[in-house]
Amino acid sequence: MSYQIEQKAIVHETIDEEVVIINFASGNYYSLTGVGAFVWNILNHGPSSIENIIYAVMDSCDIQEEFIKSDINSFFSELIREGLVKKLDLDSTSSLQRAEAIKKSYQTPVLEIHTDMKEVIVLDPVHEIDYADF
Amino acid sequence: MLISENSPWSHEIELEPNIIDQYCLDIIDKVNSFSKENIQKMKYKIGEILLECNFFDTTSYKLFHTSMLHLKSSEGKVPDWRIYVINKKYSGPKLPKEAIINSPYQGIVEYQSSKRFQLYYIEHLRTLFTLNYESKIAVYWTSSPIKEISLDFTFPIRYIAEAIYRNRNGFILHSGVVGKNGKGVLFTGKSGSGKSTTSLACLLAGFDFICDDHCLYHNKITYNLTQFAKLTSTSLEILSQLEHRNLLTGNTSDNKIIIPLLPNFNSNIKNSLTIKAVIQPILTQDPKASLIPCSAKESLKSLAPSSFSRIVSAHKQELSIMSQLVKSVPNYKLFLNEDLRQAINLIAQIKELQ
Repeated sequence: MSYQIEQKAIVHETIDEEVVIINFASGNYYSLTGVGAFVWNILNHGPSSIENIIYAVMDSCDIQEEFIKSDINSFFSELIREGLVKKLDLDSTSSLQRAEAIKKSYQTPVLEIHTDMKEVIVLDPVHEIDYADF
Repeated sequence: MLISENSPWSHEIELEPNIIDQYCLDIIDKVNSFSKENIQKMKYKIGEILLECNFFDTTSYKLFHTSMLHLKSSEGKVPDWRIYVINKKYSGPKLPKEAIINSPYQGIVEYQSSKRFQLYYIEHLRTLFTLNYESKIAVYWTSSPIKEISLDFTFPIRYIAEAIYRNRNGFILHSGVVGKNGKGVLFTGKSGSGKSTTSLACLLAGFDFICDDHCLYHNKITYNLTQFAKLTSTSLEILSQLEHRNLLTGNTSDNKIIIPLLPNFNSNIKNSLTIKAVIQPILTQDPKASLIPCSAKESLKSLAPSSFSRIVSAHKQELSIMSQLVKSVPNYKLFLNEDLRQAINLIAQIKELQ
């Protein structure tokens, strides 16, 4: 099973090693730093399985799988719950897409969620256009 | 009624772009068939582009011209674009729903066309606008009655100018901009954060002024779009000196009061300023205002959420433009209080404005 950044409602930008994500469907915006940003940048290079991402984090942070597996799985669950990432029905052994692997110390990836701009960001779905109204 | 998942609009439709191109041509032909007897025509310079605006009704023209009169141009050259503004019930060709570009969320309806044309429908305004990039003709057709106060008078130009500039990697920012010596600072933040109040306080203090709410941004330069400012009644109480100048009666749809800045601030209102710093005003109870450097990413998080247009396909580009802006200049947080003179002094002393 592979995962991919949701393309349609999401825009994102990396600035000063922090990823800023806008979700137009929900009206929320998000920040990712450290390991979270590293994981996101892997996904930005293409679909990847959680296993491959865990290996990449292990390699980058020089840490054992047992210490991070639960964190990464929880992190992915949150990304999916927020509509930022979706599952793809691809072979989970697809080649690892790697972001630049800078050695760093491990910290639990955290998705910072901001909801204060919801009313401004979220776009109403289009209603059936009735030309009698227009 | 919302779009259901069974609706043909919920699926991406492969359609020949030429079909929508033909619709765009048909709309323009329809407009060309209207009598030009009472048409009101005027040229305006928006950014670097000379626009000839043609209004089929006097009310639209008068309201629009009041907003943009300081941008009127007497340049004799051929305009870069001709815009036709129609305010009456739509009588053009019916557009195929199948051509709507798929998205799980929508702002403005986008129709699939070739790169020579663009076609949009603004649902909440009951307005259609189209651009022909070959003939450089645009049509803005609204069936919403133009009410004197409830609409932003620059709507026709804002949407069309933004579409034109989007092709040049520019767009409209939700920001205030003031400056000195041809150099500007850009205030970021959502509505109510203090952008307008700070911008207008600077204007009263003699700063050059581009806007308190929206500007056209292209290649580090901000351009003026309107002579009107919009303030809440609370802000007007703070800026009491402004309150006594030529207030229009009535409020906008977001319950703000429209304030014309001409002719009283004629020498301060500028057509353009180059951005040298980005500032995020933050209201506090601190007795002393302060200006603290901050990171580009903090500025981006303040600027981006309220600046996106309603053109879905443009959002990625818009975020990239904003990111480049905040990375290219110094960024600050301005902690201000009710004594705006302190904040104004701090802004005036920013080295980037010297």
